[in-house]
Amino acid sequence: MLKYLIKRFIGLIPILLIISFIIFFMIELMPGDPLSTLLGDTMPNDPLERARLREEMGLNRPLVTRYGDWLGSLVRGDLGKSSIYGYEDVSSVMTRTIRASFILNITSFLLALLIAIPIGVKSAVKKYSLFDNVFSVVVFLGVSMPSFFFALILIYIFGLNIDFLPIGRMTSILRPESVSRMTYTLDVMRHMILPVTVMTFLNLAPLARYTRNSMLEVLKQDYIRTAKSKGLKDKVVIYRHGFRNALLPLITILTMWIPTLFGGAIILETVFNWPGVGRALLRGINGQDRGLVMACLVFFALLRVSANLLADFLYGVVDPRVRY
Amino acid sequence: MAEIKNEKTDLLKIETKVEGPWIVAWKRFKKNKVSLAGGILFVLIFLSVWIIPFVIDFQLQGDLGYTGVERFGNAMSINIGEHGFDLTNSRQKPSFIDSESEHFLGTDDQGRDILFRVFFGGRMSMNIGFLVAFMTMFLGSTIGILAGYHGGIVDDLLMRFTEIVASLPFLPIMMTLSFIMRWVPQEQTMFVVVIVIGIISWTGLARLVRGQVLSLRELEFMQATEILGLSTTSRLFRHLLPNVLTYIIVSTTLGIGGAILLEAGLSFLGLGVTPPAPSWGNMVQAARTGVILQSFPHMWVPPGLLIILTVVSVNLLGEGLRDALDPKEIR
Repeated sequence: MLKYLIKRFIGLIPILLIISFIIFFMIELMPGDPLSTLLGDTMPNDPLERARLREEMGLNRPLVTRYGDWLGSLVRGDLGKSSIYGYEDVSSVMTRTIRASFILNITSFLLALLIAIPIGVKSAVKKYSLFDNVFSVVVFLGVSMPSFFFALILIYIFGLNIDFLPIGRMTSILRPESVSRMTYTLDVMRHMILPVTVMTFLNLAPLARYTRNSMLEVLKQDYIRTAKSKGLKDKVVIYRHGFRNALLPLITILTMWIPTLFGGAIILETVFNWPGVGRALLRGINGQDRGLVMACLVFFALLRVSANLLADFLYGVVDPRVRY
Repeated sequence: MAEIKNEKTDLLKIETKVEGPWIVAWKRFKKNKVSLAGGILFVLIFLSVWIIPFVIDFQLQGDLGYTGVERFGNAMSINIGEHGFDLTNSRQKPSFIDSESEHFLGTDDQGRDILFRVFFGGRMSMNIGFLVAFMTMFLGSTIGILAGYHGGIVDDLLMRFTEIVASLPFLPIMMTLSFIMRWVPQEQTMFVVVIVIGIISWTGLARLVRGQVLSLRELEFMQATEILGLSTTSRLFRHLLPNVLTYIIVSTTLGIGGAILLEAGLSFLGLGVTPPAPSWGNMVQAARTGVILQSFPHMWVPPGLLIILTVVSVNLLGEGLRDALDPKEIR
């Protein structure tokens, strides 16, 4: 096991290097002058002065050298300054926005799981029943619906016409330090209702479908028939014998789902003005904030790669049959 | 007596008639009413995005004395966004749904006929869906077949490459790439969207095809092609490809829906099809302005509903095809 993990880690290094180079190269191709993003208002008008600064900052050196430098500072955790966030450190912008995204994502992920698993199990057990058919339609809508459209409809109904829920931002309290922690948390939770509802519904659909398929696969097995013929209660057969085994492939899929979760949140964070990492990426792209975009891309890439690794690892942990 | 005789000959006929796999698949597909309905709906939407703009155009021609196409150039051109521009309406303050107006869905804030733009935008979204699906199909099946057939170092390299592309975060990379390609003239942003989505979404198909080819390669019929001394091209495309075709067809069909959703998402973020050329995504984007979101839902609800309808129908079609084409799936 340990040996396998070490092997996987080593195999990951070239992939991470290539991905980081792709990210670096993409940023290199971004329109706009890197010098002006670095300097902002202090950008001199004199072209000679500019050329001197460019030379000084090493912007004229070959691509590979600059990539090496960037990688070095990335590993040290020095991500530079973000021009659109008022020259704040990129690392502090990232910590803040990732936290905001995380709150949103983890809440809706857990909610979706809590709802999706019983639905998936039930509709697998009662295959082609009314329940299964109704749920299949809902799942179909869920996977075929653009997230932003669903969000806009909810905003239109609950936020604007009934004026019931806040429709954007994380809080309406302008100075969080001036109110008690409790009030602040409650206000954030109120702001979370709409985005979490949308995300839960959209995550629910694929999760419930995976659960159903995985459960159907298990219910075909011989040991389920054995358990049934032993005279065990249906509940015991389904949950003790069936579901536990259906969970194995599910765990892998759930882990792989996490990066999709964060990625999909980009659009919803934009709709709801949620100050998360996805919206930071979009703002960074539109504001040509190279440092911030690079940091966001690295974050999303790392999330994906580590989720894949974690899925492999968990698969081995939960299934004793898997040998590396 | 005569009837019995007929039955007998019919029986004989059935015994001798060999049904090809495509006919069997079609028969199975026909049985699945929901998928059939999805397929028909998809074809209807596809036809209407090509036909309805012309019908509306002829109406406008009656009102304004010219056709949009004559005045504003061909279908790909950016000006087509202004196409359907109602001069009488734009001079007044923007008027919206109005029972007396000839605009069935009203006009938008710039006086453009919404029904026209919805269907014209549909043309854009459909084009992108199909082009992305074809690009994915081409890249995915070529890479998959080459890797699976050649094996060894070719397989290693191609699969490493696939793994790297698959580990890239899709949406963030698409957004950045789309921004990088801003230098592309506005009227060609459609192709930017196609390339940006297509370049990254072929990995699943490539892996699927490779896996299939790996197992097919060992079967007798492939050994026979080798013994017969057929050329590599013939072996790959005449003998191997037809056997993985069903997977490719299903994956491509489902890919159309996925691409339409991605286009809508990118356009909604402002990184897809650039206005004034309409697409379903950038028409919904209008709702990012608070006033339009709150007071003029007729501007953003119709394109949104059409996205759902199209994606649902194409997904139903794809799932029906999967069930029909998979010979292992016995119902």
